[in-house]
Amino acid sequence: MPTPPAGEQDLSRRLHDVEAMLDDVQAMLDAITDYAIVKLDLAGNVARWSRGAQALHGYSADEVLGRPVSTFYTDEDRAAGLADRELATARESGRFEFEGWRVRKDGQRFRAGVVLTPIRDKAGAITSFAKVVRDLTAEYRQAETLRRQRDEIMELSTPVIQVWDKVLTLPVIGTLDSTRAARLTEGLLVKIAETEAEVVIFDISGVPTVDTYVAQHLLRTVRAAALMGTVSIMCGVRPETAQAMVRLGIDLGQLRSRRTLRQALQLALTLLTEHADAAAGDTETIGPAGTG
Amino acid sequence: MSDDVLPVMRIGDTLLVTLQGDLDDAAVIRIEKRLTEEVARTGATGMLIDVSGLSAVDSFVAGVLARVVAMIRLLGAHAALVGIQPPVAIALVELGVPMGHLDTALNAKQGLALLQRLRRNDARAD
Repeated sequence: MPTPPAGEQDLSRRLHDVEAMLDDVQAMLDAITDYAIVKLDLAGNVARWSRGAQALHGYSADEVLGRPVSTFYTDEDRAAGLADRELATARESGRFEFEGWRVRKDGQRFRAGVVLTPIRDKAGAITSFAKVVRDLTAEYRQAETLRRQRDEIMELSTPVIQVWDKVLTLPVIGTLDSTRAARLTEGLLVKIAETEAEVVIFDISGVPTVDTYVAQHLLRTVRAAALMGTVSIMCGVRPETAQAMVRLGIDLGQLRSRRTLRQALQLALTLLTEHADAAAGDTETIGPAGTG
Repeated sequence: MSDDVLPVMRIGDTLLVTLQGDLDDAAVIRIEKRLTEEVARTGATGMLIDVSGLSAVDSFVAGVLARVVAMIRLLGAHAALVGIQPPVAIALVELGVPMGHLDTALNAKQGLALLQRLRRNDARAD
């Protein structure tokens, strides 16, 4: 049979248990230093601040409690009303996820991965929001570097060089896969439009093997360049490549070839001179003297 | 495309025509009629057909262009296509549209030089 002291004892033990549990939860939250864990009230003001949040954002709890979450936003995001949109999305779809720039207390920007979820009471009504923020700056920079390096390698692997007025050279180096081949054609045609080139020299001395695919692709590029009014010259064809291309039955059409880049350039300049002469002849026929 | 939106400009002995928008069967017939008549009327010895304003250049349009060029040649003039953009050039080659027999140049300026070379070859042959 329960006696008042026993009930008090029971109550104080339960209180003790609850306190122990709260301490335990607090200790657990404090131990999470890689994530900022923040509780926001319904209006989006900071209601609870974890040690991880302090470490990431640079503010102590005293400095931010009650302040709007947009304190940590960039000026642009603040001006765009991102905070309200985040809360609205979390309220409607139960979750808001975001990766973007946030600002530390010292003004430094960091790449933040944010997840915002609503906290509900037992009846299911939203009472507040839980926000977990992770610093993704290092990953972001690494991905950036990778992306840039990939682009640079692509650029380097399909360079189009203007060696002379109206003459482009395309040194094809290494194996051509479909991505590189497409990029090569596109890069060349854009450059033709840009420089008004009239002659393109394909130097294939750097291609280890010319199989059907590579040969067909080169010829497609030559044809596309011809549609833009450009004459193509090939150079650096090795004996085994010459044998392979003819055996593969690849029709070279009117594609001219020279042994070295130097000879190809000479031919290119000869062609340009012919073009220039024709243009000069144009003015003669217009002039009063006339030719016939 | 009606006659009044088919601009034909005369530069010396050369006509420059700019094709625009979509080509349907009716437009093609109008273009063929207009261009052949213009060449005959002006006695032009060359024609540049600027295709940069066409919304699409597929095998149908390529066929149309080849036909127009053949008609101009029958009238004793040279014809060249100008203004083929990089994506169009890639598409035509990918589609395998035979364009090798057509004379092409990057732009009107280079087109004029090309026509001049073609005329000069004629003079040599004569």
